[in-house]
Amino acid sequence: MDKDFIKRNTEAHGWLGLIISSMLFVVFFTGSISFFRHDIELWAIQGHFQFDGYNPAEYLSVSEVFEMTLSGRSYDPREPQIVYPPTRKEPYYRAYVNLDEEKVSKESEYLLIDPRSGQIMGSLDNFFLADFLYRLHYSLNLPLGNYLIGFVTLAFLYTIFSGVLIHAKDMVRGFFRYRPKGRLRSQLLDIHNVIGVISLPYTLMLAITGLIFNLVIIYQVAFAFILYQGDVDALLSDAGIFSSASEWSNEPWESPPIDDLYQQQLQKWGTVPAQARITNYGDSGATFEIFGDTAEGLGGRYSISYNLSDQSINYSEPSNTPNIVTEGIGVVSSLHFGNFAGFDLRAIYFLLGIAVCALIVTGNLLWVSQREGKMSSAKLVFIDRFTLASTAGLAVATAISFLAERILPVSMANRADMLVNCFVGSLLFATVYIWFARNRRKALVNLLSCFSLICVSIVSVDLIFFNKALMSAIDSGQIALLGVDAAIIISAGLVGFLTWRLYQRGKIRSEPEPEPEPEKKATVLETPVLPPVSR
Amino acid sequence: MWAKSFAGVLGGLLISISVMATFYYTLPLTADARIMIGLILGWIVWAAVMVWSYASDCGKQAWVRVGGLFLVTAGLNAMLVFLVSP
Repeated sequence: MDKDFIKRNTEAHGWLGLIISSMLFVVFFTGSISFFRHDIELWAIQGHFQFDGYNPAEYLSVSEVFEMTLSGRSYDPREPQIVYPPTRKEPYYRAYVNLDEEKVSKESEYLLIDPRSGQIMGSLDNFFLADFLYRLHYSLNLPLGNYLIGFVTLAFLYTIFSGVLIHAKDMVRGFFRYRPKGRLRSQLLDIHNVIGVISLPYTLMLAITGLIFNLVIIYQVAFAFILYQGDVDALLSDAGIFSSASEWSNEPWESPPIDDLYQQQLQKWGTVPAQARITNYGDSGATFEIFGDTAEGLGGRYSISYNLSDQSINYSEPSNTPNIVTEGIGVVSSLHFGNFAGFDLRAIYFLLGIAVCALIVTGNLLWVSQREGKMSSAKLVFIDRFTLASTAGLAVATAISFLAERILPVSMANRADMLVNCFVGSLLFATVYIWFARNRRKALVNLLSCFSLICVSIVSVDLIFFNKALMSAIDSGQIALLGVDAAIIISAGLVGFLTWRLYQRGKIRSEPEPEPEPEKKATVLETPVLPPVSR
Repeated sequence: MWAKSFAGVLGGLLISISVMATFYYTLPLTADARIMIGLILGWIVWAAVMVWSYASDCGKQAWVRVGGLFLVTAGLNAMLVFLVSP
């Protein structure tokens, strides 16, 4: 390939990579954690609420839960009302109620419901951590942030392509090369290349599937106007996207067969439906939708919509004439979220995600090291600090938000907002600290120590103040609480070890070398015990 | 760099839409299959155009490259529409 072609793309790879690095780090760091989003939500809830083991025979029916949840509440009947049935992992009902905003100031309520009594146990809106990290992943929790992340992902796809082109000639030989005793730049380059090659299928898949989620609107509009001459309905029909088309008839319904239809789907697929949704609740024009897993294939989802008045079907997927777009999107989702296999796959996804975080950091450090002597030191120091704040600072802020999720009182007003404040506040604090720290290596060591200590504190709080919840969860076979605590303590241990190594290296570098006495000189030269000083 | 970036992003978008339209008109598949293929290939074409744009000498060359390619693909689509239409 043309040398100039590679040279210019190398330059663009570096600059574009640097520009998107902080946002991309947030995407991969929070995305990796979000593979366990469900477990984190369980960890947050089960610390405060205890449940008996899963026993569906003793539970209220779906229709009873709808009725008990909505009665006395200012819900908007024309909007969908959703119930999430209990599973072995989550032995309780959850309900999402769309409120009538003309009567109450809130838009919706997300409730935790006792499956035996139907009593409202609490509001799940208070347990925002898992959702917050997920929102950071796909939109930075900003308005229109999903489009911003979409364009970051596009730039990421470009860096993958250009990275492959830059490294293509040396792909195989470079994969087996690591020069631990080489210069810092060589070490960084080797790490960057090896991680890049190992994670290539993963990053390519995540970039393309992520683009489909965040920027599909662009192609949707283009398809509708260019290929379908503005006929959006025809495009949606070809893409297999149907709506229930329920209409309010202003006549009350008469004994709708909600439980019968629910049981039909339960028996047909053999899995507990993920959600049951009623639009126009209480009206004879109501529709009832059921969504769930088929436990078959890579996509593995089903959905069906009934008119409750006559049990006629509006749509049903998978159908006898499967639509490639809906099936394809199912496969894309499964690939992106890693939910087509068990815990082991998500663990691999998580490790690869953290490896990509290392890829981003080494990329930035490489950018700086390549420009030492060519660019003003003030600019390079800025990039160093920027990298440190957007990586180590983010890690500390995430750990703080886990701690906040655990120690903030459940009854606290605006608990979710307070959690976000804790995250943003600690990120700002870490950034200010980094900006004024004279020794950036020491700042990194301090931030990583801080991360480890916070992680240890989270588990300590669980062991001291939530030990009953922990024992109850273990007794009833719900291991999310224990599992998340174990993951937190393992992270604390690994980061603690890394911190200790960095501290040792820093100490060796900062200690002035003693003036060697003539007779000891030979001994010093013969014992190469010092680890290589990298920076 | 900025001119190349704009050429790559904007030109890449237009070319990818145009290439997707070409596939849509020419592939002997059902409509849903053509939409799904377009949804996956579109991003790849877009990023590939960015690579080509960044490989240019300067912003002007990048615009000439992506503009030229877009005109070629758009012209091909115009011909296809003309041939397909009754």
